[in-house]
Amino acid sequence: MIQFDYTFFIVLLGTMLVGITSGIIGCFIILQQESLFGDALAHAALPGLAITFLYTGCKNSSALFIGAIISAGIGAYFILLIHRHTTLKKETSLGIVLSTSFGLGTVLLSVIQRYPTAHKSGIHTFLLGNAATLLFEDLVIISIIAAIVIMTVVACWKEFKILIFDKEFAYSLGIQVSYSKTILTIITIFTIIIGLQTVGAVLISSLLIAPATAAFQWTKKLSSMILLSCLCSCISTTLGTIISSSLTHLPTGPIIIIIATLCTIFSIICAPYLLTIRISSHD
Amino acid sequence: MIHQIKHCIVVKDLNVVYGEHSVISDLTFYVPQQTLLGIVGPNGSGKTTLLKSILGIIKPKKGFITVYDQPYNPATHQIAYVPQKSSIDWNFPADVLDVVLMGRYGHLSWFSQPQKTDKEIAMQALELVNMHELGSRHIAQLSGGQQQRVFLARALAQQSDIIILDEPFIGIDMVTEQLILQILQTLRSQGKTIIVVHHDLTTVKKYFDWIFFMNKRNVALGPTESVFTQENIIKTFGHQTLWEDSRLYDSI
Repeated sequence: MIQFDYTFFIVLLGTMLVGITSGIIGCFIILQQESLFGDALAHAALPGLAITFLYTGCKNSSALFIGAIISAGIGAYFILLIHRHTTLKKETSLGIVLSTSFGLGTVLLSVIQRYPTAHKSGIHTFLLGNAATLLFEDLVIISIIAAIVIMTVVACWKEFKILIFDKEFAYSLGIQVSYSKTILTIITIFTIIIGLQTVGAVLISSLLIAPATAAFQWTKKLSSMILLSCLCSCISTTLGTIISSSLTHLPTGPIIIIIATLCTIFSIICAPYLLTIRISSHD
Repeated sequence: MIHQIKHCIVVKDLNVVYGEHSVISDLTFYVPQQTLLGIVGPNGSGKTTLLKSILGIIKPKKGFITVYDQPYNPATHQIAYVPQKSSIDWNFPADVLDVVLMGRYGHLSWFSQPQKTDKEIAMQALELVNMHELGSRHIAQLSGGQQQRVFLARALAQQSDIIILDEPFIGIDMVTEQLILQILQTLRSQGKTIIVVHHDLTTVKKYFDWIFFMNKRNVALGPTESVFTQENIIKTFGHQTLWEDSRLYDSI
């Protein structure tokens, strides 16, 4: 039985906003062929969350978000550093940062578990997510970050588009490619951070990739791809929240991911027209 | 009276290094205004690197480059660039007009979007390359020749005085090759300067007014009739067997 109460709407709004921002940023991530990037940054945020909790001793959303942002930013910097100064490929540098951060994050979370307030604080929810624990305070932060992400994408639309499509041509036009790339990385980090509490560090990359992949099957315009991706995210988050509210002991995040993945599978199968074009273009 | 040739691009003592590997060393090169110039050299001779250095995409280790006597600033829109068409993912969600409109992005400030005038310029560029009816077609649906024409239209939409093309004739049919050549020759006669990296030695003499032979450093530069010689080809490519190609022999 679904209870359309205050908590339900907080959770629904929170997951929907996270879904919309992930749907937008996910399009840029998959078009850059950097699907692992979101995953690496989400894991890179874990040590920051844990250290902030250890320092402050409480689960204050604002402080934890700032800690996570700094930590994910350091992760992004290390990815760039390894890629630039070694002969390793980008996926390898992503893998190194992902696994190291995950290891460090898990160790720190284990330390936190020994604290008497740890279980009550719900800090462990950042690993696998727990949308049901969203509070009004979290919703405010999610809304502000979602607004920043959406406004940035609208403002830097042509810069992001050309950065992804043809970076060298963008350079030749005098477009500040490094600024565009940095801004895109910052809003990617923001998106991941607000997704941590909802779907968790382990599953956030699925919320970035699945709706965008589903949308990619249907359209030939970047703008409509982003709108479709947001639509897919909204469907997944709404259905996920309703299902997890009506059936007890079912976690919201994983259900959202399962629905988004089903949307992707449906799109891959049911968009044969565009798929035919893409396959023939590879011949 | 000696006629003074004006140079729109001057490259002096250029050295480019990737890691510890030298790609271009002590290269000096200039481009006379209003010419259709071909850059010719073997694979790995630094042709694309030279283009990217002129455009400011690659920072050279040493040397200097000027465009109209000034260090090049891309924001002046003096050079339009046509990269190799294999350099991008043609499955990107964009139609033909979207791609051509990207040629206008350099003329727009941060946060602004293409206006009606930009769309008109883009459509005119598409008409010039005979692609105006395909404006709404997804770029994945284009043939190799059409893709190259879209790239050329994007460069035309930039309305620059100099156009640099990196291997524009690779992977396209003969009809498109002739169409592109015709457009380039028309642009040259309208006062533009065109620089083309080219690989097919058999067509060099027919296509270009000036030739620059290079192989990591400059080998020869000058009007085609005086520079396109057996000696310079062997100096650039370094072996006699190439010279034994009868088609090449006939072209000289």
